[in-house]
Amino acid sequence: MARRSRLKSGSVRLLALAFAAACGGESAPPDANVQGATGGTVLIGLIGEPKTLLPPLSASEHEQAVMEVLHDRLAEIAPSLDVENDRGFTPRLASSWTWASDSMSIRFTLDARARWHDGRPVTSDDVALTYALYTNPEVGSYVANLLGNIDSVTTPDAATATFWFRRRTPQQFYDAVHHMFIVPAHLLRDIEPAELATSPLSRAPIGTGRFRFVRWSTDGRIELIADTANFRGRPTLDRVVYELFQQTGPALVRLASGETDFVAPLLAQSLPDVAASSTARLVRYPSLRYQLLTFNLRRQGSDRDPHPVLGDVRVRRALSMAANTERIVRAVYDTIGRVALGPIPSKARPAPDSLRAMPFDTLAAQALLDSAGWQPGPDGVRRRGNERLRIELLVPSTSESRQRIAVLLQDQWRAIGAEVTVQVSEVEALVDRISNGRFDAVTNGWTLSPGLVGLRQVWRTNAVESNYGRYANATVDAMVDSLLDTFDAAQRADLIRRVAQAVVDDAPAIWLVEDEVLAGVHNRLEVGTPSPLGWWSDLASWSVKPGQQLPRDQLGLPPAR
Amino acid sequence: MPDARSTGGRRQRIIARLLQSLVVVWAAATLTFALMRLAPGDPYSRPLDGAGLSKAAADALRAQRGLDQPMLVQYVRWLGLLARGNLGWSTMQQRPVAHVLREALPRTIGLMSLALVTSLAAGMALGTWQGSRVGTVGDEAASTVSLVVYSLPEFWLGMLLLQLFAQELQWLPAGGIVAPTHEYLPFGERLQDRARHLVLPWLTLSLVGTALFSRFQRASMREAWREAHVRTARAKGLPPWRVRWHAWRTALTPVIGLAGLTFPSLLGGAVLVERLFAWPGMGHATVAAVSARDYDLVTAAVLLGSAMTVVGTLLADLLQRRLDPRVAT
Amino acid sequence: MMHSASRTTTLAVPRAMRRPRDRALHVPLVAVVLLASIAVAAPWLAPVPPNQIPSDGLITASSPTMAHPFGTDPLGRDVLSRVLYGARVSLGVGTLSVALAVGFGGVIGAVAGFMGGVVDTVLMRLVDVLLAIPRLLLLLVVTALWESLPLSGLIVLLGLTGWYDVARLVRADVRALCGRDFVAAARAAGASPARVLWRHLVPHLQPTLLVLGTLGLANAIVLEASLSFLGLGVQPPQASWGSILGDGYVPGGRRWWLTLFPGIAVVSSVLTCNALADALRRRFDGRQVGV
Repeated sequence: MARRSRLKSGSVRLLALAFAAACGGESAPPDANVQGATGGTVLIGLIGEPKTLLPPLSASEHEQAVMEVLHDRLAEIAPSLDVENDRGFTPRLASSWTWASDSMSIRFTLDARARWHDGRPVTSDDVALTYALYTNPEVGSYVANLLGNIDSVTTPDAATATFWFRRRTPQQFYDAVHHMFIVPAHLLRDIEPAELATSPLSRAPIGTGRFRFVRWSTDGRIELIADTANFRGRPTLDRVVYELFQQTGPALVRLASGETDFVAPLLAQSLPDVAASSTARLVRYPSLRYQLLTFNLRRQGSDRDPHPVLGDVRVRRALSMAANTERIVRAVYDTIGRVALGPIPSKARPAPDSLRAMPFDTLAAQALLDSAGWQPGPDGVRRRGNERLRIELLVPSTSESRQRIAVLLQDQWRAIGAEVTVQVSEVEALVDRISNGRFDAVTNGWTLSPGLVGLRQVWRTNAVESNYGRYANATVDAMVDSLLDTFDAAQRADLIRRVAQAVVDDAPAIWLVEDEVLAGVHNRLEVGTPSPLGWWSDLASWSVKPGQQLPRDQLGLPPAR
Repeated sequence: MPDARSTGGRRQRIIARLLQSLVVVWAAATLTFALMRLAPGDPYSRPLDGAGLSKAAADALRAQRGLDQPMLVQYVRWLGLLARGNLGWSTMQQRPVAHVLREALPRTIGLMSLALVTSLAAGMALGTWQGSRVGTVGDEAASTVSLVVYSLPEFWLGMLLLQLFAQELQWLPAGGIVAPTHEYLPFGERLQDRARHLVLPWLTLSLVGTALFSRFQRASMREAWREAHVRTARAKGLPPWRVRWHAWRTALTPVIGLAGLTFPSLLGGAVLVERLFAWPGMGHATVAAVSARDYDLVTAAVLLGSAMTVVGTLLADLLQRRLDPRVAT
Repeated sequence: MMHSASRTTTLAVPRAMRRPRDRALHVPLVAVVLLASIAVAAPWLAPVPPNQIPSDGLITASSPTMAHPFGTDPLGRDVLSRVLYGARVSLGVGTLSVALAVGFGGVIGAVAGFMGGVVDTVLMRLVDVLLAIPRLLLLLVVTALWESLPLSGLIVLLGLTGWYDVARLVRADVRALCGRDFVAAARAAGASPARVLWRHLVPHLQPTLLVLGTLGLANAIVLEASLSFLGLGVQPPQASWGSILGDGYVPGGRRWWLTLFPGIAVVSSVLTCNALADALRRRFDGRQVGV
């Protein structure tokens, strides 16, 4: 009762403050220490069911949304996603760091105030064990191959951890701090790495984040509560409850009825419905994600022979020119996201942007096909000798948007004499096919990491795992390597432009859309500036607008231990 | 045909039935085991978008689970675990399968049995009512309505109900099994919370179920009306309610049989309905497990499902025999 | 496992309503013929091609207008045309798969019932095993096995997962019939088992098969719709009622025309089949209908 009235009087005070500030023409930042400004329970609809909340085991984005709130990195990247050396990074668990004179090692000094949620202090043992777990093949973290440049982690004393590197690269600091979330050694030390998934910590983690874990109910809810004793200060909210959904559908219905406060990612087709809703609004989060249609440059099942249709760059260019991607993106993605022009999203391309994309020109496309020897046949489908211009588009059964894109492309390419079939396939079967090169074209997507190291994984010659289309261009390989190793910012920018242009000219794919992450947010929530690091990255500063508290916002916190 | 009443023969037959049931359950589980492993992909295959595990790490995890062994070896291993009561490890949820089932089963069984019981009760009541006034306007109207409801696909009906009650009118919650802040509710309100979340899925399932059973009961009643002993009762001048009681008892048999046939769905759940209402039950989990290639979970689900089917048909048969001695083996 | 006497089988037959106001057979029959003709005549009835995407202007779902009486789907295609063409797919797939199921199940059931003994036990246990695996699950797993499932594959798949009930009930029927005089007479006259089966028993099975077929068609239509709704049925851009439902289903969405019209199509077809099955049962009631 007392708490409730305190909150109420607090919110009145805040309202007065806000009113004054509004009249004054500048907004007062929410101060977590102002009495009564804290509070609120936010219900988040998470699409996808996490398997684990232990950082080294976590693999999917929906797990990140919970896991990253509970744990901390050594240092946090700037919203501009700059990865050169340590520019722009802010301290987290590490309060400061020093570079060795030869830059082959970095000493991190841990923040003395940092505590685990069970009260124990954070020590360098935690950092060392974290590194050991992330790189242990028995644990099987997908981040492991991003930590290749780190040679080892040593612990000179309890408050210091030193990272030793193999090579000097511009991204070594980023590699050391960004991929790993520090886990408690005192709890994990005695567990066999292979048994990590079965340990209770996997589903009831102890971290250092500003929220702490309360429970993971078996009926699909994860509850987090404010860590009032956190060394960075308590978050504004009291409580966050994640509801786990397998599909967007039920989550969306609950958003519309006001039972859920936040749902992400939403599909573009929900845009008009949420826009029309009186309880929720749309928020777009930028991302380095883009969707594309990858061509297979090799004959199906072969590593050597070029694809009979798509092996010819002229055919690929013609198809690119005949694809009205602007129209497709408008139809399927509405206003979410912009048309992608190449393998590097526009946010990661330096200004001035000089990328020359393939123009939309059906006449030029047809002329190009003619010159490549593909003549129109009696039924409208082009032929070269006995070969028909046939392409099979592979799309996953789980994605409506991609199926629509495929149908639209089919329609557009029929106009230039290509016979396109759309094959909807179950996801596992699809992945199996593309991993073995048994496809013509597939709709997929990539999220580029801030350092652009993904370029090497996706476009490098013989990068078997992610380079499904078997794209091979030695010049591009060399440019990507230089790009990732150079310390010269101007040279880097130039190389990025050149890599993007080279790949676009080779037309190994149809570049579709750089989509943003669409979130439906309850109107009473204040969620801050959308960050490319994910909607959850500033969860600690979300707040409920004063005077708009619902009953669940007034539940308050349990008495402190 | 053997005499239904000889005791020694009956015991022999029951044992034979049980043995056969065991074989059926085993065969169904084995078939599922094989089919799942024949499908392309495995629990550690790459995701479509994104980097996923490196090949080395994926292979290491596969070796850990024994997935790199030939299928026969895996099968023997699985049998061994099963004999020790271990249902396996769910790769999708990273916990023992037994834990997953322990949570999902009660939710599905609860929902489905509630729906079954109410469908049965309401359907039998309606069918009996209809059966005693065949041809009247009331009967015709009820028949038409139940025919229409019976013809509705469950998921479509569910979509309509969800749209109407949860979204437009906002009388009932839109899916889920409890409210997200369930633990903070006082005890009395907690029951109410569960009940409110139960209404829409239960309604979707029972409406169609009621239509089905009422049609059956009506037809059964009509037939029972003509049975010899019922006619005799009428001829003897027994009061109408007694005659009807005889007819009803006779009509019960086939309806019980039908109820027995619905047992498999008790476990499997109505998958589409569970998805629609985000009901975290067996159907929901099993479909997700197929996509995620969670071998152990799917196999265990089929194992349990076939066991329940067998139990259901056995129970129905026994009940039928008790009710109507004329039912031969 | 479901041993049942012919009279009180698990799916007991309602006796004829020997009352003046009998519901005639011809009403549902006419409805079925009407549905079938609509499906066949789709190319002539549809105002525009079902897969036609607008070449200019906005590509989006729009509510019903004079130009598009049923509205358009998210890719701007006319829903009326798609529903009409979808009838061909949904009804066609349904009919063919049911024919397969009834044929296959009928054979298995007849053989089991006629031969009895070990053959009977083995076959019926096989049916039990297959029944124990949920149909949707089986379909999900098998569609994953196939790399690309053409329409014929879908038909075969639906047919081969729908014959179990047919087999059981035909078996019960055959066993009941076997005890009858005319069969004994035929055997005494020296007819081979196959001949007895074909000549004498099958005609008596027709009613059962017909009713089962009609009910099965109703089921198949719903199953195809469910599968397409889940994204596993027909391949785009082909229209089937389930795929139109699935394409347009945005939960909490305002696009009511995308769920209403295909939904009505499905419901009315299923309704017609069920009504027909009812009427057939009543009609055939004079003979032994084990269903």
